[in-house]
Amino acid sequence: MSTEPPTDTAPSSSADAARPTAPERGRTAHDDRATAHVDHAAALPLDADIDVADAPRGLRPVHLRPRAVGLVALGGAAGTGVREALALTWPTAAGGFPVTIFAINIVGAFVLGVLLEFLGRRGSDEGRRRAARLLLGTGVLGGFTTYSTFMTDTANLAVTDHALGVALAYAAASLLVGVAASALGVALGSRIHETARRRATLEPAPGETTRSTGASR
Amino acid sequence: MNPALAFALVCLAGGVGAALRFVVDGAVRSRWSLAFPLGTVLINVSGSFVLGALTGAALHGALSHALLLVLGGGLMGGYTTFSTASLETYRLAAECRIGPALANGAGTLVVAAFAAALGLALGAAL
Repeated sequence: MSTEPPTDTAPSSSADAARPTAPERGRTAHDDRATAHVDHAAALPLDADIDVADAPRGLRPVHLRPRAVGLVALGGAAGTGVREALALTWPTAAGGFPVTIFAINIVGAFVLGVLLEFLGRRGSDEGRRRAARLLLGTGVLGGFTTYSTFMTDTANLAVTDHALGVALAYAAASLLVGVAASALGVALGSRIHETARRRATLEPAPGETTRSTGASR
Repeated sequence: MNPALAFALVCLAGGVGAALRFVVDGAVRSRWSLAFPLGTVLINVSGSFVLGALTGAALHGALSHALLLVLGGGLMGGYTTFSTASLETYRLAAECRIGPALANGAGTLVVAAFAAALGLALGAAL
């Protein structure tokens, strides 16, 4: 046990192993690679892939890949912008039920259910599907919906405005309607996928004999 | 602050917050092997606490309205997420894992509400 050679445990060597192998080229080389990477991805067919593009970097976890983090940040900025615009347009009076954030969170939970169920049924989480999940799901819908505002409004209603009933109603309604919206979203996402798949294969829906699937929807 | 600039900063902060959520969630996932979405729970509880503190500070004049908008609605709004929390609760329930579903849904809600209230009190005391 203790007789193993110490080479692999040296911190410097294991850290170097995780890095890309172009140490001589420095910063400009990195920039070149980033540009080439974009062109390369654009030239590839449908499943042009984050994984393919990142392959030279080894098996770095997705949440540490600059392109994945960038997609999430881009989507998050857009989603946050829409939420804030809506929240500023329809503010809630002190002591009132926060209708705008409630609606935003419910819509977000529903759409995320549709999106993730649809993408999950289309195929494995890679390439364009993963990019769509990160940009639209983790980014846009994650930024659009908010848990912190929901909770701070709830605490404010209970503590500052002494509107405990409104606070409890807001919390319970958000939790229950949110889960129901997710369930509906998942059901719709699954249905959209099935419809698209049948159209692609020209296969009739179960129970459908005379009507075509195209006309029924 | 110029309203257009403030709004741009809110969006930018939201992007940073969302990226932070992605990295934190990934880091938790890589260390947590159980099928319970601990990452989202920690993110939502910590974000609720921080937004509570920012709001408490703003209510007592220690933080400007513009800064509350950028750091609160932007950064913490982008960092925390309701959609993922709801979907994860639904998925646990759909797998008939009722205990974890209740812990994720109602449990997070109660803990995060207390975290936000604690933040409000601390922020007001600053």
